[in-house]
Amino acid sequence: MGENAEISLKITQYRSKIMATLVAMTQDFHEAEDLFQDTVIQIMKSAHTFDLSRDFSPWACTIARNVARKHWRHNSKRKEVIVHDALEFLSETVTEESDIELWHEEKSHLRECIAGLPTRMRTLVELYYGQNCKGDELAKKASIKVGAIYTTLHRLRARLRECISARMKMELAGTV
Amino acid sequence: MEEIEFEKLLAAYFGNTLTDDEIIKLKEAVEGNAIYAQRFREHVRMHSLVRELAHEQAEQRKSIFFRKAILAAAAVITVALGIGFAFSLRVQEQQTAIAVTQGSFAEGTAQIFRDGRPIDLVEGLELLPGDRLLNKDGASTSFEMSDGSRVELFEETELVLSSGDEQFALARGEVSIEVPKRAPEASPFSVSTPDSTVTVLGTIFDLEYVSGNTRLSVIEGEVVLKRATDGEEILVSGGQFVDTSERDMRPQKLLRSIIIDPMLDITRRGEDLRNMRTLRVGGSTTSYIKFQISGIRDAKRAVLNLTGAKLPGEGELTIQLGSDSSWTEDTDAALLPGPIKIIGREYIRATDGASIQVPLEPVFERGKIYTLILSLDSEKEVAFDSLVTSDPPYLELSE
Repeated sequence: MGENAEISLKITQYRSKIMATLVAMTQDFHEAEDLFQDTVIQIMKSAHTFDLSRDFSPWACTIARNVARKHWRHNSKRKEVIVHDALEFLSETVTEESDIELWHEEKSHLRECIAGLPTRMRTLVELYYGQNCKGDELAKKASIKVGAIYTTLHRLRARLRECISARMKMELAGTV
Repeated sequence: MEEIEFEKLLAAYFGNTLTDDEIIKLKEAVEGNAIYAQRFREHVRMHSLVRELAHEQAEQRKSIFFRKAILAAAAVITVALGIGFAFSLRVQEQQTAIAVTQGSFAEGTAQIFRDGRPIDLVEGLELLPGDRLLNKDGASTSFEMSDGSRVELFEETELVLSSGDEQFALARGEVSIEVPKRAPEASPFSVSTPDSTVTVLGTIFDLEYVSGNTRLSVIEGEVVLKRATDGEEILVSGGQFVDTSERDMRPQKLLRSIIIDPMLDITRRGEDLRNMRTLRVGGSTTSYIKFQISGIRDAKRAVLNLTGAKLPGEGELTIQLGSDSSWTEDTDAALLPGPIKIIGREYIRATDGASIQVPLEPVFERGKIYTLILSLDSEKEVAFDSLVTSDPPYLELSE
């Protein structure tokens, strides 16, 4: 397999993590997805500098953060460098865990956990995460007060997190 | 930083609503506390993975749509070229929709099973012969057939769409059917249950198959019912119903009043939710009761009966309609429905063991699920029997 092909394969394997880096930087899926395209281009341009025996994730996520910082110079609503530094720190915290297997394992359980949510919660997942529905429209369609949207989503994530942990424990015990 | 403040910052972070100062505060909290750092990582991971999965599922749906479109296009080209004519005809026949779903499917689980695979119902979905429709957990579904007939399925109902002379077979549950007047030369609308077949030329009727009994209730027009077990036929007219489990099937007058037991009830005290033997109201305590309306079409009068008062007291009891009814006993208090309309208000004096009747605005439509939110303007709590007792609260509807 050629160098570019190997790098492409790694981008696919680590896609979730690179995206999470960008989401942590921007807190906006649309912006993160745009920046992901730029990140992929940048990674491919720099492929020749990467030692394939090294861990791919820190290198790729650093490129992602650089792409985001470059983007911020012209576009961010946040102008203070100290804020950029804080967001970069938070983003680095996300990628400190280098075990991509954990991400893949959680994703496989997540599918089941979402399917097991009450209808209203599943609708919220579909509207917010699947259809980019936000603000008043989301509140109306999901029957939530506008002021409670992010708290509800926060609880939803915590609930999914608990479900995944429980399933992983059951898997270890051989009951899933 | 206190945990509660950290959780608030974290929730607002994903909403992209933090101020610059709050971002710095969040960073300091994550930097200075390993547990917060771990929680932050987990939330970002969840946030990203849920998005990824939701997108993948949306893409899969699109892909199925495009695959179908490509298949349909391929079938047309095949016909045009005259290649595999017989095969293409069969494919085309299988793809012909005989009904389209209508309405909202926000509550419960409404699915069709096509070739053994489940598909979630959405509005405007084309239904094919052989599709099995199934409603669960409070879902109600409706669809319009290609001849203009409207069919409404209620909770725990299962039917299979047919091709040919029969429109569908009702396996269990209850449906309401409106068949527009048909031309004399048109074939009749026909539906079967496991023990009967009903045939009509234009009418409104309800058909229910539960525990080995088919009940046909005719609202308007006339319907012929044929019992499969002995071949007996009976004509049922508007305002009448018949049960096939009765040895001598005789049309009887339709019911005009009905008692409906709750599907679920819960007492809420602040953020605390309890399923108890009592429903409590008063102080900061409210109660939620969920009812599914069935068996009556146009209720003109509604009364909520609260039974077996345990903690005597008095005050003005307000009954409000909840904004939705998808809650369960596990629902987070913050996700319980909010009130949208006051439908009843009565000054009550509850004494030991007494029952209280509260007249309600008759807003109830057949097949739908409603949540009633009860509150009392009294510092002291009043308690009534809940669903888990032998004398639960109930809703009385009359025509």
